Amino acid sequence: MKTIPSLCLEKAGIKTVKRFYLLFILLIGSKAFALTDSTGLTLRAVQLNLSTRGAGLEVAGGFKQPLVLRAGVNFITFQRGFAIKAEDGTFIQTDPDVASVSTHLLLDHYPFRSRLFHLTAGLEYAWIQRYTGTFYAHEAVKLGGVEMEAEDFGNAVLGIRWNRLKPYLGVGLKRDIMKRQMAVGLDVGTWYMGSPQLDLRYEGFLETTTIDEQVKQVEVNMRSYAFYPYLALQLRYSLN
Amino acid sequence: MKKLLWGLCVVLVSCGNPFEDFVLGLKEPIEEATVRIQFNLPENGKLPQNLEFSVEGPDAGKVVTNLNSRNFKISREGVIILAVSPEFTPTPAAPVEFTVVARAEGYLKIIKTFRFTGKANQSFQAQLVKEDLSGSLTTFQAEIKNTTYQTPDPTQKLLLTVQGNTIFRDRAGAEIPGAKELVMMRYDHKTAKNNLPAGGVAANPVGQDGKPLENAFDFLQVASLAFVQISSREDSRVVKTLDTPLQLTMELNPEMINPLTGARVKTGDMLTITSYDTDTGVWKDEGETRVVSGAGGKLQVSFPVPHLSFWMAGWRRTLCKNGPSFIVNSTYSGVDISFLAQLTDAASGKVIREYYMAVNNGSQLTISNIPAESEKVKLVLYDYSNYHGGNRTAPVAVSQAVSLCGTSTVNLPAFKVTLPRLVEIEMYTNCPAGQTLDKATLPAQMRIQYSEVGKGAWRDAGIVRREQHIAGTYRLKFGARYDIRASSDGGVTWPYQQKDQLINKTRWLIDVKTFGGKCK
Repeated sequence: MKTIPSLCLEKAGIKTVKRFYLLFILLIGSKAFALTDSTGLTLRAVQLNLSTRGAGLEVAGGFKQPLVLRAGVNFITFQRGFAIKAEDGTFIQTDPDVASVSTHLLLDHYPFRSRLFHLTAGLEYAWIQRYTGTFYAHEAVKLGGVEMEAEDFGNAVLGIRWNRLKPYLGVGLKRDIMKRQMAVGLDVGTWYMGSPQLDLRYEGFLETTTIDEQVKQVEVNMRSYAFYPYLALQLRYSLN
Repeated sequence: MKKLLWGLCVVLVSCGNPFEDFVLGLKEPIEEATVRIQFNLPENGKLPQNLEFSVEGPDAGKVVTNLNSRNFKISREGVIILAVSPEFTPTPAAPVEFTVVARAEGYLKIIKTFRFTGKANQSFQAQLVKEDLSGSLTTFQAEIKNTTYQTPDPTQKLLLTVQGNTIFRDRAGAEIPGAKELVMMRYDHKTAKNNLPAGGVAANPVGQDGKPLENAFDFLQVASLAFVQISSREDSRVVKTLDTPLQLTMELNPEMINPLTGARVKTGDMLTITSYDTDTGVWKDEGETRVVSGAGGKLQVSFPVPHLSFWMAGWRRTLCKNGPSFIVNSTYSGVDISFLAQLTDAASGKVIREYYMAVNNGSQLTISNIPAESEKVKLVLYDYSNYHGGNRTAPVAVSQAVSLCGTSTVNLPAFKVTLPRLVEIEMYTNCPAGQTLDKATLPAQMRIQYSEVGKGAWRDAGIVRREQHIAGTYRLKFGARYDIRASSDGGVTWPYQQKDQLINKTRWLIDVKTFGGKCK
């Protein structure tokens, strides 16, 4: 899994790059705003995220005790193709295309005096979410005792789509007011994405099959795939 | 707090198997009210890359592919099978009529209308022909803007004159307004006879008055064969009639021999004019015309054309509509190969025509539309099949002599033909001990073809169906090696192959476990 932003965002498109840097500037700029905000929002930390949502950046601000507001961005991309072994040394080529760029706003509540454990709720909006896999063959493929020329095998592009707006619920371990300049933090939770919708486009032998009906069956089977587990490790830098 | 953590754990592990109850089956092709369209492959065995195909007309919405899809895609072997959607039942009172249009840059536009009044299937050979050809076949395509058009061949032109004030009408008589496209093709006297529509046999022709003619006819010689198509640029509606006829002029090759005189064609010779309507299949006697000397002294015939279709000028000969029937006596049944039979003049032994006939006991070959040039004929059967060859010099059976013209029935003993070993083809799944194949889960049908290894020259071996999942064939030679392929979509695509297979078993198994074929 690679999470280097510059190369990946180039593929995601110029618009994505612009959105990302705009968000970054807003996050950094929010420090000046927070320090002078009359509502009492005080910027406390900037943190790098390494999570199941990819790499990301967050700023955390003290709100009303015992609340902390966090805003951030996560991005992840994966495009390395691989071959799936079929029969008799033949292969089906698979090209995944995974790209996600999202921003989120989370509210931490510290219920205990220790101010280490917190409950978290929030929302994420995915600006870009692309989860597709393309399947094809370079050479003849053997399946179920029969052989198919690459041209007859054709190709299939399977895409999965979830809601762009995703609520979050979780817990975490990190101090609301850091005692040191650098620290680590932990979040564990889940994003609710809604039931996935599958999109299958194909050419080749699949056109002669009942795959469309079966995709609906898979969609039904995947209704429970509505929650995305979130495990994040953070490297935090205090701004106090 | 405990409850919250428990809830988180539950949602993280609650996902089921996405492929539970996933069974990839094969679509069942529609087998009634279909039309199989076979395109030629003019680009070195491939279709033109820019070929556009569409279904037009008021009933176009009732048309699907034979897999009940609206994705009209021609296979790489040039086949598409269209069908009337199972939601509709065509009847004579409520026919389903639609037009297919195929066009590719550099090729003549193909327009063909199909009309379904029942469940019978149809077929159509769609010929993609290059535009602006010159030679034996000369072609032309343009938008109608002027009054005269001609094919590009400088030696034997086909000229068309359009009257400026004419009104173009479709088959229903409705005027077709707006821009129109013209397509013209002309075969010369060397190639015309082999390219006549419907095999060039006018089995049920009509006269100039539209009434049926007594005798069928074909052609001794065709001096020139022309195809003229005018269609609406906007909706591809085809022009059938014109209020003021077109004038068609065919220049003739002066080297051509008049079969009636045995001499070269010359001014004053009379040629018969015949039309053939591709939509209705009607041959029409359009009268005679005289060969004249045209511009530059070229021989030509010229005649008015009030309706558009194939038009040909030539010399006809009368055919016997009804001839004898030969009924096979044998011990065979279920034989799917045919054997060579020659219809010969009983007196001279001259071969009149060759057939491949079935040899199953009781099968019948009826002779029809044969030139009335012999009085008595015999049918001679050889031990030579259309799949495996054999001996075509020593007959194995000869019928008694019978009149060529007029209905009669004669027996033909076919006991001495040699049948190869029967090979059975079976849709099969290897079931574990104690279980048997659940036939209800088999694919609806699998068409099987074979070819000599690596040749790609495919021939039908048979069809296995859910109801009859074992089919016998005599077409495969026991002990030979073949490439074998299967189609589940009625023969449009052939994705499933078994290469270089030795036929060393009397039952050949097609494994269908991937596509149904469950055990119970």
